[in-house]
Amino acid sequence: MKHFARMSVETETVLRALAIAAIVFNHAHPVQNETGFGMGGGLTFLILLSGFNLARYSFHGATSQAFRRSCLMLAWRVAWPTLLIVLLDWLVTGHEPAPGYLLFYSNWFTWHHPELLQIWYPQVLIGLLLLFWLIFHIEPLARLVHARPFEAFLVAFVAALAIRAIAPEWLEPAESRGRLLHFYAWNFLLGMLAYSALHAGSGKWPIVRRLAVVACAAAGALVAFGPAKSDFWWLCAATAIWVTVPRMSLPRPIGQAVRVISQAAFTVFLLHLFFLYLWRHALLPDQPIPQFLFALGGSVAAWVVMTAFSRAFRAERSASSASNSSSGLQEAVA
Amino acid sequence: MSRATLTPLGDLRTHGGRPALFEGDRTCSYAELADLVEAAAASRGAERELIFLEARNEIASIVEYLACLGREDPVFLFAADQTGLSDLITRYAPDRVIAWTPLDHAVPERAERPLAPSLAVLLSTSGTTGSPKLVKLSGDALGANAQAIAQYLGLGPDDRAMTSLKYNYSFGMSVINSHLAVGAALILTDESVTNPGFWEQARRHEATNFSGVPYSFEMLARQGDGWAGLDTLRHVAQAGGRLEPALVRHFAALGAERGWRFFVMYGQTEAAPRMAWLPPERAATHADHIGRPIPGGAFDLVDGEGRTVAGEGEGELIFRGPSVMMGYATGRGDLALETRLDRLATGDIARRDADGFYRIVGRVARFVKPFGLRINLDEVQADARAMLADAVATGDDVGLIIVTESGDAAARAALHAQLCDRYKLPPHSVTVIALDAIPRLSSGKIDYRRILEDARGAPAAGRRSVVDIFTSPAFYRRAWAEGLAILGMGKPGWNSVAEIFAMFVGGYVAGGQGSFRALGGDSLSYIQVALALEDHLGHLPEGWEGMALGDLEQARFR
Repeated sequence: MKHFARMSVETETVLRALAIAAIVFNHAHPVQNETGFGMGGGLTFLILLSGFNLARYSFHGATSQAFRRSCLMLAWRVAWPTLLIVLLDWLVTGHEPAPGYLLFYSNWFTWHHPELLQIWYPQVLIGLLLLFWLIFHIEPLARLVHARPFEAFLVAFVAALAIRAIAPEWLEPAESRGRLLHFYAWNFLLGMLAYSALHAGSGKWPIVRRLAVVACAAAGALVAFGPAKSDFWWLCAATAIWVTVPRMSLPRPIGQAVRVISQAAFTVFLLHLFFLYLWRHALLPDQPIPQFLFALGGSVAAWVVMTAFSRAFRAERSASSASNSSSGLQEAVA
Repeated sequence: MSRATLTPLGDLRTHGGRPALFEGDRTCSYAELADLVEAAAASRGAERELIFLEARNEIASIVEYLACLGREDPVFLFAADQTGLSDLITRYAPDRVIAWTPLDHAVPERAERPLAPSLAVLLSTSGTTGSPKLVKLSGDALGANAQAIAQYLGLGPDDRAMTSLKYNYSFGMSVINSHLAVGAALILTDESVTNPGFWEQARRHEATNFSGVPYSFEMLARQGDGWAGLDTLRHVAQAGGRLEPALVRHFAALGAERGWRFFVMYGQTEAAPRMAWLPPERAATHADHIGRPIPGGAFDLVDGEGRTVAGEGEGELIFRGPSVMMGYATGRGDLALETRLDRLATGDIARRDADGFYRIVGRVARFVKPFGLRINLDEVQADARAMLADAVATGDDVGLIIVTESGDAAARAALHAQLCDRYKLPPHSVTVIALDAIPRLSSGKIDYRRILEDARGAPAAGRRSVVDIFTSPAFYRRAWAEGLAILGMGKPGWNSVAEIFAMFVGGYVAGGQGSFRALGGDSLSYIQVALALEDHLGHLPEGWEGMALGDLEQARFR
């Protein structure tokens, strides 16, 4: 048996790849037994990571103005590819997109979505970012959050979790099936709370901090999903591994695959239903594993091709900045 | 009183128990610092030594620096990423190399060659470009310049300055010298000003003074003015290149509103380094000026015929004063020469206004400053000619342009790679162009201006069109190579952190100071950047997202 060299990969990268792969698998062949325990849950961890990374890269150390700008920029970067997929759906299926899809509000009125995209997640994400943008216009509140991020995110997380607990009774419009901002705000805020708990302040009591993050994740998942749902176990297990194991040693081919899938996660989310649609409309056998591999492989390959061409284009463009400016030019290298 | 504590900056012991240095949670008083300096000095030999010292904003490094000054050991200050350090060590044969970053070359046998009595500090003019030419500064020059700076800034023992620059740069060194000269304290950090940790330390230690280069202020302007609310701040000073007048006015107004004074300063390493300063109250009306000479210094203007220009007028700016260098060195033998210069031709063309304030309007010498690195185009040309005999170098603060009539594509690509590596520039800022004929003036001299204008002219039109790129086989070859690299089947082609940031973050990348966060990186782009950095650096430093580009590049050596 051949032994591959090993490589070290950040646990976050590994879990991100696993989470997106789980989403694709779930959509390739949803499995749900009689207790309601399905295969879903990968997205709960990706939402946590979204909050964590917003806190890490855009909130930490930024002024309110800069954070508001980051929220808008990020919302735009989520919105335009989402719109492209909505248009692709129109092109492929012939279904004219509803205004709610184009303006990112459809999930408030219906759980229906374009055949090629689970649009509720980009809508929730954009909604949350716009909510942050609004909230951080309230300067005294923004100053408070900047001054005491851990306490502020803890309060926000608890409040959002309380809203999640009462939402099905009081705050769920008909036909929305819970795919709404206030159903997932706790999950996103959990990520922001995790960042401030793990990385802000003096760094004392690291084990206590990690345990607290796992406890918060478990509490959130318990209130939102209950232990009978795979979402609960996904979030608890992934969070526990994420905060306790910084890196993992993997055989090189697996490590490389994980790195690529992890980088492609957002594109995979946007494109995997398109590849499942291709599979099903080509009347190929309804087998979960081949479907899953085709959808995951196809959307990762699409990301690799797009990224390779995008990088090559940028490199060629910058390399040519002086190339046409001299009449006697033969060739330029930059 | 020990000799080692008596430096050109004064006697460290006179400031007693006052805080001298803060590093993290540690506070080092002047008395403690004097003890440490004495101990460091005692560990060296009886004779004067030529020291090569890695300049780090840490107590241990500052102690060694002060021990050099106290013992009158000439010291060359270098950074961890100093290009050509090996060559410098061979050329100068230092008696001792003090470094915290492992060196990959041996220190030669101790040389029995004399050292000029006044020689105190050696600095590279270009920071990290590896030029063997070093500036020789005397202890008197350092002391005089430090006192002059302290005088016009109004520094006193209660001041506390952030060390926002490494002190192998003359500007960073002058911050240290001027504060220690008056018994003020230094808050030591190597964090970037764009990192919140920098300002957290400033608040924690109640910093009163902050100094930065133009890029620092450009980034701070982009980040908003949250940092400016540091209650204890009294002085904010800018040097290290020209700051846009609009930004000068912005920071002057911000300072007036928040209760601190904003100083624009001008200098060169050859003057130890400060030569001029602009009083804060003139910043709004003279935002494009360098101000007036420092106390003890004077300016002359000399026209093209060598005549002194009186009153209002333009000419090459000549600085006179006690801080002028002792000349340049290109090898150990030059360190024995006890030269005293009293004037420095700056190479800048300046205009003197009726009110006696000076404004830079051009340059005499062929220097450019891309990414904050001062680069001599004549040196670049000499380097290029070592590979392609007819190469001509020009450029501007955006990058270098090399034109040649000879050599094939492979030779030009090799030259391009060599220059990027030697001058630490990202690939997109160095352009090598093949021409049928190099433009010349009617006198037969090379027409540098036309080369630059042709290369830079009409930037949008100068770029290849999308159609050109998409119909070029090279584009598809590059895309194929990128695809393989993404899949881990090809070598990641990153040459620098700047290249990675330019590819993924896309923002303005210059001066070695922007961080992923400050340049607008976000949670959609971080993973590609993190993995590319891991490939390039061999590891991913903790807190990389807040680290300045230059610091990340240095992490490659750790």
